[in-house]
Amino acid sequence: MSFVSFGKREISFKIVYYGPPLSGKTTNLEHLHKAIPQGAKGPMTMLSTREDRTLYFDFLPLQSSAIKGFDTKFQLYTVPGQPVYNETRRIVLNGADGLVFVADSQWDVMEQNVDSFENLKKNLGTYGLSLANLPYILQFNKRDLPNIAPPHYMDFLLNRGEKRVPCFESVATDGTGVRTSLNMIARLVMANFIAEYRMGVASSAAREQLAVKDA
Amino acid sequence: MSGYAIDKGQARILETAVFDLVVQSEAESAMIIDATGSVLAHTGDVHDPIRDTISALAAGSFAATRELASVLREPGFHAIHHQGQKSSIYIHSIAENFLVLVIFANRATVGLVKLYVTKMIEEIEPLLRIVSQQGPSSTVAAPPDLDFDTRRDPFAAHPRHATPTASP
Repeated sequence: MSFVSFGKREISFKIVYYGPPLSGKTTNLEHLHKAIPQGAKGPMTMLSTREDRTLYFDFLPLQSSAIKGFDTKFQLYTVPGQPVYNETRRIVLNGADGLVFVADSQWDVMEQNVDSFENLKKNLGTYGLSLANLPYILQFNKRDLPNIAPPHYMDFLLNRGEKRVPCFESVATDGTGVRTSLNMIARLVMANFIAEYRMGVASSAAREQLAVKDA
Repeated sequence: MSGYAIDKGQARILETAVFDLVVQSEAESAMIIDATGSVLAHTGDVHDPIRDTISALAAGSFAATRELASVLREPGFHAIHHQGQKSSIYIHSIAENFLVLVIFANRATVGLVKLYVTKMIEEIEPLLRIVSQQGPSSTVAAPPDLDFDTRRDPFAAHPRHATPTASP
């Protein structure tokens, strides 16, 4: 749910990293927290179990000057991947402006990727949202491990919605592909917001013109 | 509610409301935030970036409370109060999509905080209902043209800050 403060010249967006358990969602945020310079990031907050598994969400606030004349804030969240935490996943999805689906490239968890992707669609549906009108990208993580599926197979498996979306190969543990994924989803989110904003401006202007004619 | 915006005048009304709340209830800090944790107005000692962390956690905490209410078939828990040894937090929902969050030292009383939060909600709830129904572009009289540089990455790697294994 984007928020614009015209007074403070600030725009905020929420981006959620979604995916099956242990696919590397938290590792994405941890790498970004290390790699993004001070001044453009806040502290990273992790609500985890004792075993370091995400219990509720991880949160990393980032700041950029991407939209001209406005401080552009991106609030990054992860969800817990374990099936038992579906209600918390659903809560964290609320108000998302964009999504990064982090898939695990290993053959033996391919079914979990598909289940998690279906779960994402179902949870979005509870808010009246769909992947057809929400910016998202796919990240195929753990490309450094043996026994991984080729990217074109994962693309065939996961990228078959109403629109084809950008896919990135990554190794979140060393940062490969992590920043690239963030930059792409940030661009898609901003482009989507600006398109909707301009449509709103155009329809307001049209309404005003009609009002003038009526008068 | 999809995207929304507030203009300068609306921001001023909300800032005044949280300022008055802090003075009257003898609290340390107060914020008005939305369901995703974005801060609409705040006053007091809590500043960025801690402010963003507090607002995200408060929004998450309240969302979980709301789900608890739903599981218990309770029409709604409208407020939560976290009591600490030195300070406490009181969170109350406003106009469905917003929250007021008050941080107060234990020398202040929760009764006083609740009283002035209720009073503030009466004042600002109509405004927040209007805000939540407006799209970002219909908020200001002359909406600026927004754009971003498509040639530059929002989070471009800087040689000084890049880690040795930073993504290509």
